[in-house]
Amino acid sequence: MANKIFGVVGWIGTILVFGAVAVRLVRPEWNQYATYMAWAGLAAVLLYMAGQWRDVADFYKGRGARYGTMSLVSIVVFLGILVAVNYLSTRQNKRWDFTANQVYSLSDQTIKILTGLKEPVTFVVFDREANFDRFRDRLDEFAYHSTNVKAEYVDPDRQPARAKEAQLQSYGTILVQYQGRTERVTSSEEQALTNALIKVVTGAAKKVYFTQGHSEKDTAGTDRAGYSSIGQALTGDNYGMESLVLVQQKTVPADATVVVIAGPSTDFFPPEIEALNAYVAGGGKVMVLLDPEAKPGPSTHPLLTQFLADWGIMAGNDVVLDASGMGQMLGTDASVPVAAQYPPHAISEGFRLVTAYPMARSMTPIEGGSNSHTAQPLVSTSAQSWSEADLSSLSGTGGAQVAFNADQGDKMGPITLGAAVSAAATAAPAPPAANGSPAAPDAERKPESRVVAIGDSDFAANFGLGIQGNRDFFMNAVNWLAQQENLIAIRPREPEDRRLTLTADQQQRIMLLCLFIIPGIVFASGVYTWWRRR
Amino acid sequence: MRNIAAIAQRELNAYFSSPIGYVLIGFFALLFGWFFYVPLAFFEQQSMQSAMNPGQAMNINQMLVAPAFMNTTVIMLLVFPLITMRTYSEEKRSGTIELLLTSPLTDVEIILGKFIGAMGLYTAMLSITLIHMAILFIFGNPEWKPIATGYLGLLLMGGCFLSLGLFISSLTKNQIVAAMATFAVFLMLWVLNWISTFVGPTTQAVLAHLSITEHFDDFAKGIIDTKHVIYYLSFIAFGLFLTMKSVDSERWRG
Repeated sequence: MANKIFGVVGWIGTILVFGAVAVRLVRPEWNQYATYMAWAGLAAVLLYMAGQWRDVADFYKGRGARYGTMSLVSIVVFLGILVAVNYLSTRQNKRWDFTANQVYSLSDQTIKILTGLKEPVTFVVFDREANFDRFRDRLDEFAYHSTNVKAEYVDPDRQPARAKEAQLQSYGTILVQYQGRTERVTSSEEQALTNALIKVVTGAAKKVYFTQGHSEKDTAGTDRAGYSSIGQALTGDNYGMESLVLVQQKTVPADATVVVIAGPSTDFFPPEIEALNAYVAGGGKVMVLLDPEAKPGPSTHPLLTQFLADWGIMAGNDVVLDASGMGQMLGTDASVPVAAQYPPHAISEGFRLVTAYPMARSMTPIEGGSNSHTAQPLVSTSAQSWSEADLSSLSGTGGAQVAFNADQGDKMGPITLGAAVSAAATAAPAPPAANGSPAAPDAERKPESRVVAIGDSDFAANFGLGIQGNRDFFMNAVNWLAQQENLIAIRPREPEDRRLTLTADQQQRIMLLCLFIIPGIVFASGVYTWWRRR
Repeated sequence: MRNIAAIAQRELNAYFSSPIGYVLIGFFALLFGWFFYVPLAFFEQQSMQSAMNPGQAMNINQMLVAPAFMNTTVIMLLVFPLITMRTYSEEKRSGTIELLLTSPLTDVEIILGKFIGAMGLYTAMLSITLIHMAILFIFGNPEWKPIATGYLGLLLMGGCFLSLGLFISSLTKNQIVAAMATFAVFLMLWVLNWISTFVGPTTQAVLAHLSITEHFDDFAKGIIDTKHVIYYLSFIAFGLFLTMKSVDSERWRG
């Protein structure tokens, strides 16, 4: 009876142990249960063995068992030594790159930064599993030069929770984490990774300044038209936010990463525009969100529109209306043009969300550019939308009744609602802030001026962010403005160009040689040997 | 040392006095020829196309030699069980194992001799591929260093498979069983890193380190990393050690 019970316990134990292993492999998220199962199984097996102690003792009386155990122990000891050696070898390895151009080696700048790391840096790669190797090659190199580098690979399709937590937008994103700070990169190139590393290590403040003094949108405002939600999104991405009263400060502070002008209702003063011009010329980045004119008549923002015109962007004196009915799905009327497609641009690369712009004006690149600045379109509305030039018709009877009148200067869609422009800085950049990165200065640095203009400021307000695409679009635009400034330039190491030129005839002969002649000779000599021995 | 050489000599003679050595090398040459020629034709075509728009570097080492080496490891998977299956099983079946066990040679000498013999056959196989590499040097201008590291990697990786195959062969007197078991174990080691994505990061790192192919990658690219060399050498040592224990058990198991 007791034997039977022990037998059952033994089997249960075995099943539990195997089950634990299976759970661990198939359902890693149930790992804790697997651990309990493994312990329970082990206990059951030990219990079974204790029950069978007589048999076990008998077994060990035999010569074979003693020798066998000794063999087993020696194998385990040997294995232990090898494991230890291998463990050490992965930490203390040396590498030699034998390619002519050192294709698989990192640049000196990167190595310098890596060896200087004092605390752990984690690179979290979000991509499809099949693409991991592309990043692994590079990150293994990073890890080779510093024990502080850790790499993690996450497939967002398998671990959607982590992807969501990271607010992931596209595959191939790498989060670089250091002391609670995070930088994101979307490239596996050494230059991108190293720049992200520098940024996250130096913690160079990315500051977004919101201008004030012209009743712009309030970043602290939690009301309907406030910008508090977008403020939170910016803070979440490590941006510091400050307000900027240009009339008082005279110049844009040197630590400004981006200046946002969010829906001013009055125009800027000439000194303010001067400060803005000086800032952009020195490699500054500005985002202008300009709402349509409140009243018909001459522009109420002549200086700001002139500033945009200097950068090749024309702010239309109109309101864009959308009769496509797409807005109705979002619960809005024709005064909220909706965009679902975006002209190719880095900001909207891989972007597939709908965005909507309550009361927007057109914001188009000027044909042929101006001041040798050529802007690119960012957002365009549907073909059923048009730009309504007759503003007086809007203020009177309400948006729903206006109609498309080509003779009054209305233009049929698609209408461009936003534009972006970048150009090499013409003036020397403002001196970097005191906490500037120590690793950067010796490398060549090319400041770039960038301007993004969108014909609406409400899309990023609290009520406009209900449409998910709006938040991401705004953040994409800010990130484009802020992140592309590389601290160091590393030329990617290309493998040497070594190619092969064959005539069709030569190629054919090589095929014959590879597939018939060489194997044929070997087989023939086999037959010859066999024949001779007979 | 002389004894080891004698055993190795005897093993090699056994391969080449029967057709088996030639058949193995012949099929290896055929498969390698195929894995070499197909990428070659493709690379040639790509070179022609990229000649129109220069800028993209066409590197024969990266695009042709490294993939050919990687494919060679697949051939190993198929051919090696056939090399090692007979090493011990044959001796056991024909009874010559008794002679070996009672001979004045030590187990270590016999095992090393057999291992070196098998490595000799493998080296003969690999040396066939030097002809293919010569073709590349005649018609193109490949880098020789990454090719050399690739061969070093192939030799080390082949050594792992052979030592493991030797051990499995020492467990059974049935050659077919030995071949099948060897193939199964090779395949397991081969795909070990495939499942590494389902498990936690630590297990993932351990499994990736255990996977034989994972370590070959760098050799094929032209990199020598001490951790890969040490992994392969310890794998070979462990395989030979297991063989030694297995042969030793022959005595006391009776």
